[in-house]
Amino acid sequence: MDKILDKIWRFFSSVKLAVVLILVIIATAIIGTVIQQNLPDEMYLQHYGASTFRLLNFFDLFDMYHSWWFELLLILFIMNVIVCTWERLPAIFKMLSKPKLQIPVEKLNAFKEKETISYKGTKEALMTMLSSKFREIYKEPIHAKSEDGDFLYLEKGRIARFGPYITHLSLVIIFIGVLIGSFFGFDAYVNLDQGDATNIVKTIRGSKDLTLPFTIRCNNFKIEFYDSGVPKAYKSDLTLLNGGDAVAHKIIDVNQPLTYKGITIYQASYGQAGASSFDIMLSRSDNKNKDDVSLNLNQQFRVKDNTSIAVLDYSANYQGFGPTILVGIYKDNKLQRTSIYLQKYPDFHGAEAIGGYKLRFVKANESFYTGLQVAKDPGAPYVATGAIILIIGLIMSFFSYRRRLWVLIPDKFNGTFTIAGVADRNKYSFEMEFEKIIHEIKKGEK
Amino acid sequence: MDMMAHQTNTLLLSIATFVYVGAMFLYLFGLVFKKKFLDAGGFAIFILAFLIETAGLIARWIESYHLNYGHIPITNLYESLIFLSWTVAIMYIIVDLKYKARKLGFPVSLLAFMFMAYASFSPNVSSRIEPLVPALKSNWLTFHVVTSFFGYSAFALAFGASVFYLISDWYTTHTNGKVLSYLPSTKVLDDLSYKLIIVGEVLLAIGIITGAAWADYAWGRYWSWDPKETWSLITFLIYIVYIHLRYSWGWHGKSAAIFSIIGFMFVLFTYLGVNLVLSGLHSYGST
Ligand code: HEM
Repeated sequence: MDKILDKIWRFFSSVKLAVVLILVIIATAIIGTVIQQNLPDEMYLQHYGASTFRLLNFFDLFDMYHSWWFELLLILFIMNVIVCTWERLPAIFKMLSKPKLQIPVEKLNAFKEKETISYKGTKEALMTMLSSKFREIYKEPIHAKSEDGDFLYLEKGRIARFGPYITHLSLVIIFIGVLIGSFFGFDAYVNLDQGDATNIVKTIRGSKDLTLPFTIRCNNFKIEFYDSGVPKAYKSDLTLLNGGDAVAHKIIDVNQPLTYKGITIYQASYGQAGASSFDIMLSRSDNKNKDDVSLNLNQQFRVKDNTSIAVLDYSANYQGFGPTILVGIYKDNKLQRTSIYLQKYPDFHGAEAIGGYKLRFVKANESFYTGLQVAKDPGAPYVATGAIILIIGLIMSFFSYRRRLWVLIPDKFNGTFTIAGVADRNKYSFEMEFEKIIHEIKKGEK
Repeated sequence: MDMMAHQTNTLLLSIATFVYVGAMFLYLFGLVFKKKFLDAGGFAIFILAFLIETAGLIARWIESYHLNYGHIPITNLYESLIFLSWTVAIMYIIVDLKYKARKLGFPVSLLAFMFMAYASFSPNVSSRIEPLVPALKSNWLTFHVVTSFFGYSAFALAFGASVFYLISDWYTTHTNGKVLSYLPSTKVLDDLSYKLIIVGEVLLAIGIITGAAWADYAWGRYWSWDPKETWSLITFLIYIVYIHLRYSWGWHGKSAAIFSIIGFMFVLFTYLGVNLVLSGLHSYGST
């Protein structure tokens, strides 16, 4: 039993596994961007045909980021991070708390960055010179002795060694946040007409009804457009009610949600609700008789005798000309012809007279419903914390690196001493740094 | 007045495009004729192009206020291409001042020119200043785009350094170890591309996180696996693989250079490919 556990442990402690897992996650994640996710089944059937559809569906490829096998991959990955980090942690602490102040000569000589320097003074004078020189140009050296002689030890960039552990820890925190969110959170939506109220929302994944601990009432919904017809802003005036009492009120905007009891209500979308009405001005050609009317869609209005009109269709931006209506002209209740009227260009269509009246499209009174997203994610603060720690960890790992220097002054001092050094990373930068140090030390000798 | 300003920004940006070409040729001659003054000239022209481009971007920003839209010019494909060439340029200038990587000027001015030319001449890219839909009106968006693009440009420079690495390496092995004196040494290039990749990773990580924060504010969901999000995560992970291969297995030199070149293909796909290739399938992928 222990053997099996040991094997599993070793399997998860390998960086090779990490590389393989990350590559597999990448490969599968790509599939999910090529096959569009979470569409209605009919659309897939139409696109792929029945047999391909069955195959892809079998592997959950239409909702693959939530499939059991993708989630399994993520779990394996996070176990890999945990085991890998845990396994190396004691060694790191030992390494950092008990630095190797002196190392065997053979090892010292094997370093790539190594320089033997001659010195024409006594050993004591050399020690003093080196100590003060290092203090000046690098940092305070630590003095140690071994059978080979006196060592000076210098270490920099120790913080970089913690970086990867902080980074990996942050991944675990993010993962925990994601788990909390998926177990205790939800993601739902509701559409509300002005004046309506509800406490039932529909979940986005799975389309299940959820009952909220409060009622949302939409007092008012406003939408503004740019001249081009693109929406500029939309705002819902919301009140939250609990047993008839108003417990919260806010005018929410895209990017300005309302949060109450951990549940956040976002302005997500809007849609056209019911029939819109249209303001129309009718005037006689001699401009004497003016008439302002407001018509609903398809509502007939008698202009004169047996002639009547009705708004048959509406476009907020017809071929770039802005708001436009399609008007049907009736004689004896029979549709004779249709004509379009542009709000911004009243004279565009020759402004033909209908039964002696000029028609002008003044404006459309659109009524919209508000699309609200209602979400609860108690894991989000963990994810956010993890994200910040991730950045800190990356910066710690990357913008410094640990390097160590040893100076060996042999016991039988014969006028030469050796400086050698090694860096965990950034070998090239260290090479330059080492050259500079040697240069400084040689200068100090004179 | 508005028309004037509008012409000013596109005019300045077109001029900058051609000045980048000038810089590119000087750098190229510098490589061919191995003369230092050509490189210095290339750098001077490059700075000029960069300044004109900066003026163009500022003019465009001001113009958007004249139109009452008032937004930083990084919100449609045209603006983002221009902005990307601008971040690549600024990244190169910083790297050159810090690490003396002047020779990278050739691939960098080529990239800057290509992004700008694509923006200016492609019939698919409109240079009109457009209003922002409500969801895009957020400081998170600005921060998100700026950090991501600086990340992309760090990867672009790493790509340039890695291409040079391979060329330099090829010459070294095919000319009996005689290094081309006018190319930076392979050691310098290897180190430089690694440093640029870690800078890119930090910036991309910040970019992804601010993007998630923005999504959370706007839609109440920090992550929804949409193709753009997914591909930026994929790109981040590709370079994480690079970092681990380098750190744990000592990958460097040629294999690292090839990896970095492949990595940049992922960057390009994340930036352009997702919108151009996948947009046929994803109406929501084309922001
Ligand atoms: C998205 C996922 C990951 C991120 C962001 C990440 C990040 C990092 C970073 C920044 C470093 C420091 C590298 C350097 O200093 O050059 C590092 C090192 C390392 N990583 Fe990861 N890593 C990830 C996944 C993993 C996984 C799954 C493993 C599991 C085996 C792993 C194992 C290691 C090891 C062993 C080191 C060397 C640590 C040392 O001894 O200093 N990493 N990682």
